[in-house]
Amino acid sequence: MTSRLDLNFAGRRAVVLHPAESVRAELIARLAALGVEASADWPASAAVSAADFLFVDVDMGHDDQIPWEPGTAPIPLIGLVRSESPGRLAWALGQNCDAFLSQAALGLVYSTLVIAAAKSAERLRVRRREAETARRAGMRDVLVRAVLAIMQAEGVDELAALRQLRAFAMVERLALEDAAARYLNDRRGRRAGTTR
Amino acid sequence: MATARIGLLFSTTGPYSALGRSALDGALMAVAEVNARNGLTLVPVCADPRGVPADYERLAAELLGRGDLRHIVGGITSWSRKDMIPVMERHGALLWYPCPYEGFECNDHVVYLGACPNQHLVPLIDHVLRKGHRRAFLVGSNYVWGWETLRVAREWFAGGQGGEVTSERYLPLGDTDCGHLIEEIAAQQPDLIVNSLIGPSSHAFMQALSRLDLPGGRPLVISANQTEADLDILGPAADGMLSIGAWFETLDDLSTVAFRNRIAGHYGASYRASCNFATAYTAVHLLARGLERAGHDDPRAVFEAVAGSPEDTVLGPVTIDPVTRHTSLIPRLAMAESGRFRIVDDPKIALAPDPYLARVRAPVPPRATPNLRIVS
Repeated sequence: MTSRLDLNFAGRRAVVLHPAESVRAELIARLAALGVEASADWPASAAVSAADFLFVDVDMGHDDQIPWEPGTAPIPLIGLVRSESPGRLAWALGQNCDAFLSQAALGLVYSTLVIAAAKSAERLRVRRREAETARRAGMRDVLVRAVLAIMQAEGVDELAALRQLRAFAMVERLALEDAAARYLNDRRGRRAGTTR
Repeated sequence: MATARIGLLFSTTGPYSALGRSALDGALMAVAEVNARNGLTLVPVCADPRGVPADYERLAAELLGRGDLRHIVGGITSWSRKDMIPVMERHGALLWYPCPYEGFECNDHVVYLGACPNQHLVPLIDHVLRKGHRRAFLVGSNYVWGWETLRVAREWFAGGQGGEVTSERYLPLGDTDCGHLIEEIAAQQPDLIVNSLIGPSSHAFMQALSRLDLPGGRPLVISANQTEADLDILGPAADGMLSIGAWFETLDDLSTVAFRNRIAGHYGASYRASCNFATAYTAVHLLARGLERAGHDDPRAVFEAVAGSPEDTVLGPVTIDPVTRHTSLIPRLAMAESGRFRIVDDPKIALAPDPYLARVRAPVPPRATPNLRIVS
């Protein structure tokens, strides 16, 4: 991870989903000292959709409370650990919590925010990269067609055609597959122009 | 309550004994004052960890293991505080920590009476940036105080104000071999040195620096941890050093004048008090107030009895934040001159603690947008 660490959370919003009023109040006060505006609710909160961080009680938490598919939190998700029962820990891990905070150590909330923000950013970066890899993998046929078209048009072999396509992608600052699509599209345009 | 035992855990021997002795003197003077009032009687139980990190943990456990005390005033370095915290937690006890430190901590078993970075390093660096200093050489002791204060210094200098860090160097705690640092300074000729060294390392460094003859003159040295306790040892080598602290003995307000007179009455006219002295003194007085108001020594009750509202102290009116457990303090700037600190700026107004630097942001460095794409 080479990106700069997120160390200042002033102005961010957090939601705490926890049934115990004392835990909610203490966490809200500690977050306020860090400049984080927090609200708390149980079992669910409409404020989650506008939150930058979500804290959820691992003991009582369940999927229906959280408005996304398990494991795909779009924001840093922090599990508040009380008991250590394996089933609850499995639920929290299934939610892909970015960090955990023991309810006995709420004074450590700052380090938890730093870790959760960094892990969440990394998780979202990996997810975007995977989506991009899948998209490009789905364009293999386009790549093959573009290489064949260049071979035909320029009278070169497949390696030279691929090199030419790479150079085009570099100049246009496109992924190789997108450059292939652009090439085929442009060629169609040129053909259409010549037949008119 | 009539009598309360309190632990006083300061290193009065060892590498940073000057700081520990000063703090212990302040604490003991406050104990004497409390006891002279014929109300609460404080019975101090002293222990000397000699600057050995492991001894803080051991001695704190011994003091609390007696079962008859639950409050310790003590610790100079952050290392010692962090070593004592697990012991305080196990015993449900409270540590009254009287020194400036690097922030980024809020433990329920500590009262932080010293300044954190928004009250020391940040205003100090803002001041020198305003004065036009741009090329900073950073040097600190190789532990969390040095690392974190210099991290803040680096971020502030590297920010978009045209500053530059020429080097960042660390010396092991207690190390006095600093010839290589002086050579580097001679070669780089910075216009500012941020000194986060403590004890003998700082003394050796300042002595060596004072012998350095640079064509442009000696760079300005700034520090958030040099006090009167260091000036006696430093002698003329301290001259021109700009320090920031919550208290200096040369403050001229009526409260400080009266306090100085009481110190002279207690320790003699030539006694030199420091910020550590005044803060440890304040810690004991606040602890005594808490004990009197709570009527017993339960740490939570004692803390709640003194937190959240202004308390009159020799540091000025201060408020301990009930959530962060840190103290509002007046950040005062002073220049060392002929063995004393000349007050350069006394804002008179206490600055609220911000231990996680949530309300001040490091200047963001201008970032060139890379205009490259790797095509695979």
